[in-house]
Amino acid sequence: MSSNTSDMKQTDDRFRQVVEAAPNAMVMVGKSGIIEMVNTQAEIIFGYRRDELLGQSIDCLLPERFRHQHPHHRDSFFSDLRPRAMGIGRDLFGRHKDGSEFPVEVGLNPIETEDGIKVLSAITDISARVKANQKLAEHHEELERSNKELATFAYVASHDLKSPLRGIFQISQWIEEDLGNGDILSIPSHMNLLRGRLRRMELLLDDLLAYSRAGRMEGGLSQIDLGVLAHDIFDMQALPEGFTLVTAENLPTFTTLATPLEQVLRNLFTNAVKHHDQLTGRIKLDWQLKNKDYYEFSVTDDGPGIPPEYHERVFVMFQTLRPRDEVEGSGMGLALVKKIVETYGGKTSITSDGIRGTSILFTWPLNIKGRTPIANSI
Amino acid sequence: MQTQSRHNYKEVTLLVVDDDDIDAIALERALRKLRLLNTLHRARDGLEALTLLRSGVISPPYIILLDLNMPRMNGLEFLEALRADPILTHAVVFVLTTSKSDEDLVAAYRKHVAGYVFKQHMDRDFLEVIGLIEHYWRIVELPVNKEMS
Repeated sequence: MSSNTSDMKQTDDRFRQVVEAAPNAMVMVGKSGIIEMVNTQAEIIFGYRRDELLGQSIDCLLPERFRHQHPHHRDSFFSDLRPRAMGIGRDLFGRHKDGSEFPVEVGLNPIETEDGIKVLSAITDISARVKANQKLAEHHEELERSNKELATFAYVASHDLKSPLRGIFQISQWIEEDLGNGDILSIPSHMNLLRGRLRRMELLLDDLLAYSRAGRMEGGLSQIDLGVLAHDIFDMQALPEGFTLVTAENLPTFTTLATPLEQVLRNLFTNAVKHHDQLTGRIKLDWQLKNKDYYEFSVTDDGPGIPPEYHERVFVMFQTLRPRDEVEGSGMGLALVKKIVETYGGKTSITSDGIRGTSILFTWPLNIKGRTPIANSI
Repeated sequence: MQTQSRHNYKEVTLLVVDDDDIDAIALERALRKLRLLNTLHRARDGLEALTLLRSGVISPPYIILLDLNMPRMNGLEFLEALRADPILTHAVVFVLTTSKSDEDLVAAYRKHVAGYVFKQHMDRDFLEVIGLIEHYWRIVELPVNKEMS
């Protein structure tokens, strides 16, 4: 009898050693859900000391929102005893002593003991894996976006970049022809056209470069007073006299990536002036707190407006609403604004009745995080 | 009117729909070089072309020379509107474009264009194209918009 007891004790000790040596957190509970055994890994991932856990309900290791269902799940496990994974298809979370939650995988094993059936749970903290998967999904999304951008780029490059070249080639032939026919009077106008195409080509290439770099040239974080910054940008643009910038009172002072925000405002200001149909105009910068994470800024002009049917198109690369021979422009301004704003998780939108005035709105994070785009290299 | 005296066909009006001034001038020069005196109208995008056509300024028979990449209403959108218009639907359209995209080509033929021409070979192409179109209108009977007269 005594040798039998010591055998039992030996078996029990061996079992405890195995549990202790396991690479996962192990927690054994009885039918009522009281913790009867834990190993060091369990102490580490949940942040409790062993003596704080033994005798407590397993509930303390679960987030509160799952606790009410747990007795039910436990009962159904005890009525169908076989090793299995807990909560297949559901995301499981453990609760650390400090209240934080972490994703887990749990394997359940019924164990027969002297005191009846127990459940031995092997718990793995899968935070690292979940994080890696998230990161992978983000990369994937970024890659898809970048591929799409590349396809658009290839399409527009074949048209918009090539057309000034074709133009230049053509004009050079006209000059030759007209000179051959002794028609010298046409030459100055040909030369003018030719130089215009060269300037256009340069503008397109510059803006394309700016676009491909958008979201990468972010500079550093700095504290800005938006009211002051906006006026500085406006004054630096050497815009025609007669155009004024009005800024809302109490524009926020906050810490952000100043370079991309400047780029957005600069493009919106020059855009508003370039497409204005009068000699004088008033551009207004306004703001509101959109939600707890984002400001919403708006740049409103009193120009000719943009009819609603073109509201989507104006944000597309190389799209212009007037022929370039009338208003010289690359059609990149708003595409660039959109790309920068979206880089930082914001959104752009537009309101205009197409009769008078346009507002371009964009959201900008209160707390910006510097970001390193990964697949953004056209 | 040398050509007209030799051939008995009604003078065809041309409508160029292209936002690029140089292309418009190039067509004009090609016409002049071939000593063709057809009236040439110009629209800078699809919307302007529709307005011109609907105003009756363009006297039939006419041929439309259409660019695809344009502001406001591009070439494919213009074709869509044209074919949906009960009076303009039978207009003869040649697409003249720098777009080599298969989707554009298929989409244009789906809207029943008479031909899709790449304008990539610079100047010589315009002479060839105008030459082709001249042959086309000499031989082919064009619709004359009976509904309107």
